[in-house]
Amino acid sequence: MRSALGVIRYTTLEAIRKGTLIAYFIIGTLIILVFLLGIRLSPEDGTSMEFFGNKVATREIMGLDLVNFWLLQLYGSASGAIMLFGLFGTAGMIPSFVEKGTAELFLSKPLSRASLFISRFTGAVGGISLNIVFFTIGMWLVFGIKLGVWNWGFLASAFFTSYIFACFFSVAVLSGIITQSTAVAIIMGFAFSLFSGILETRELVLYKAWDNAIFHRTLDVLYYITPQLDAMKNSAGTLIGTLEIPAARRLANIPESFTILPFVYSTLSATALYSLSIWYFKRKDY
Amino acid sequence: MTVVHTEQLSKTYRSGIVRRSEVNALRNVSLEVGSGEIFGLLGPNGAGKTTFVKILLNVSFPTLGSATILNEPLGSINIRKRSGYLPENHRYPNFLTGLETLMMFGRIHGLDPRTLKDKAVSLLQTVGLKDWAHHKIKKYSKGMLQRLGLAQALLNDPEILFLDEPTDGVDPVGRKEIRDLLRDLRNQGKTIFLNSHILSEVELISDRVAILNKGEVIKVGTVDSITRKEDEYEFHLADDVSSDVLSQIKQVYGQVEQDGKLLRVIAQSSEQMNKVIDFLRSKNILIQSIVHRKSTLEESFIELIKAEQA
Ligand SMILES: Nc1ncnc2c1ncn2[C@@H]1O[C@H](COP(=O)(O)OP(=O)(O)O)[C@@H](O)[C@H]1O
Ligand SMILES: [Mg+2]
Repeated sequence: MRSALGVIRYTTLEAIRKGTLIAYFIIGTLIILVFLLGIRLSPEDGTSMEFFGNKVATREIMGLDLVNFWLLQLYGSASGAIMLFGLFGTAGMIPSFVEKGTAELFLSKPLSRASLFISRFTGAVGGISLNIVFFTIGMWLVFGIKLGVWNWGFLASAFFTSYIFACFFSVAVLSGIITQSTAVAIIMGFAFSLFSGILETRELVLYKAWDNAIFHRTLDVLYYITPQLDAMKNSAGTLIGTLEIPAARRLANIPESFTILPFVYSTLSATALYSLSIWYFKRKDY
Repeated sequence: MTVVHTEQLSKTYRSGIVRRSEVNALRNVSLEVGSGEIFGLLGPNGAGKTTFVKILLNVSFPTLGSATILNEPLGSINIRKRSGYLPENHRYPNFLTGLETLMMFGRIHGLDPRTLKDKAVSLLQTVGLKDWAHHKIKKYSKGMLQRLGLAQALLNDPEILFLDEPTDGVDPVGRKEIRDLLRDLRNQGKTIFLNSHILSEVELISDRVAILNKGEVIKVGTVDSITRKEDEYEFHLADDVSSDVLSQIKQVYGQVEQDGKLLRVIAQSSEQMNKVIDFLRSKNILIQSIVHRKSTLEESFIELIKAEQA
């Protein structure tokens, strides 16, 4: 246990000293500060929202809470950016760990390869999660203090986004451990994020590209055996606010309310991908 | 007590999916290393020395064969708990200082953080890096990194120490210091397993050596037994021998060379060598010293490798 904690500690310190963790904290802090300084309730009517003096929205139009809608937008773009930044910040952690000259140092320590792998993974994802939690709590406080909107779904999104990242990361980890290349890990992770977005809306686009039952089922299988990033993201988003227009929801494949299913499928597929990585790692000569 | 025992250990590296290639890095290597000895594994580059040590420490896996280290079967976590390892061409994380590196790897070794600090500081002192404890290892020279690696390998007070080319990149003074340290450790009862291609060094400290070539052990024994030329003696005499005496010796003993006051005799046995002594004494020639001339390990090594290739 002490050894595993040591590896987590090592990984976290690596992320701090190499600058990624700090850089992300600074970016997060800057965005929080911009909102803290810029956002306020209009002193004129006390209900509309201002961003650096510009009226951006009234509080309620036709029963739609626009502040929550704003938070939903913020969540949508932030979680996209987090996947990318997270990928860049962590993709190298597996290949660099199994590099010649480094692998020997860790593999010859008294802990199993599985624990070594899991603690390295925990350190890498843990650093990104810390950033996510920090950013989310900061934004949540800004919206609460300045606008009086305490959106608990937004606060909870810190957990979901971290979880989605952990699932997303499985593809970069598997490619990284097999090819021992950071570049390949980043490319594969990036490709997967695009691919999973395309699969999410396969019924609207890909199905129509080729009207073939086998092709359609193949796409379905691919969708279910890989982590469903967008489905998880959209499901967690319903806790922040809902898109009231059914047609718009359908177009973006957003469910009406929170559903656990994409999390179940993604947990299974990410677990399978991580198990495959561990299986490979346990057998490999370094 | 046997500390390392391998039986027919073999390793074949397979690579390439389309064009398959195989390298037999180890072929049926059976070795025994006893407790408290300094054992040198010698061989040219690519002989399989690094592969052998990696297998013992769970970094690589054998294709065939078995081994026990400290009476634990290969792969056991207890082996790694009780050994120290200085890998070849190790790369310590350059974002840490020397002291941080030891603390970090000590923790990963599972050592108690409370006692670790003192241990780390004293080891840095032992390997001569005290003044560099708080410098980032980015700034360390190759020799300093090697010393740091040695300190790291000693953190857990290992019963056996595996050192892969420990003096690589270290200056002559540093090499001497490392040799002295290794002798100290041996005197404390630790077993030391040394990989090296620098024979003159291994010769100086090893109790026993094995010579590995293309994955095969071609010789095992004490340095003496490998290097001794059984039959060559140098007699250092007080005076030049007369050509008269020389020809008499030549008649009896065949191969004799003279070089001023030096007489080189190839004797068939030590009895014969003693007869030369008797003869010289009977002629009232004063013998100042007799040297049993050894070839260096390097010469024997090259001969052995050449013989293998022939
Ligand atoms: N990971 C590997 N994959 C393929 N071949 C390897 C690998 N590691 C070592 N070898 C080969 O195995 C042989 C022995 O290498 P090594 O154990 O490093 O020798 P030494 O330490 O004696 O120089 C060499 O021919 C080397 O090319
Ligand atoms: Mg080597």
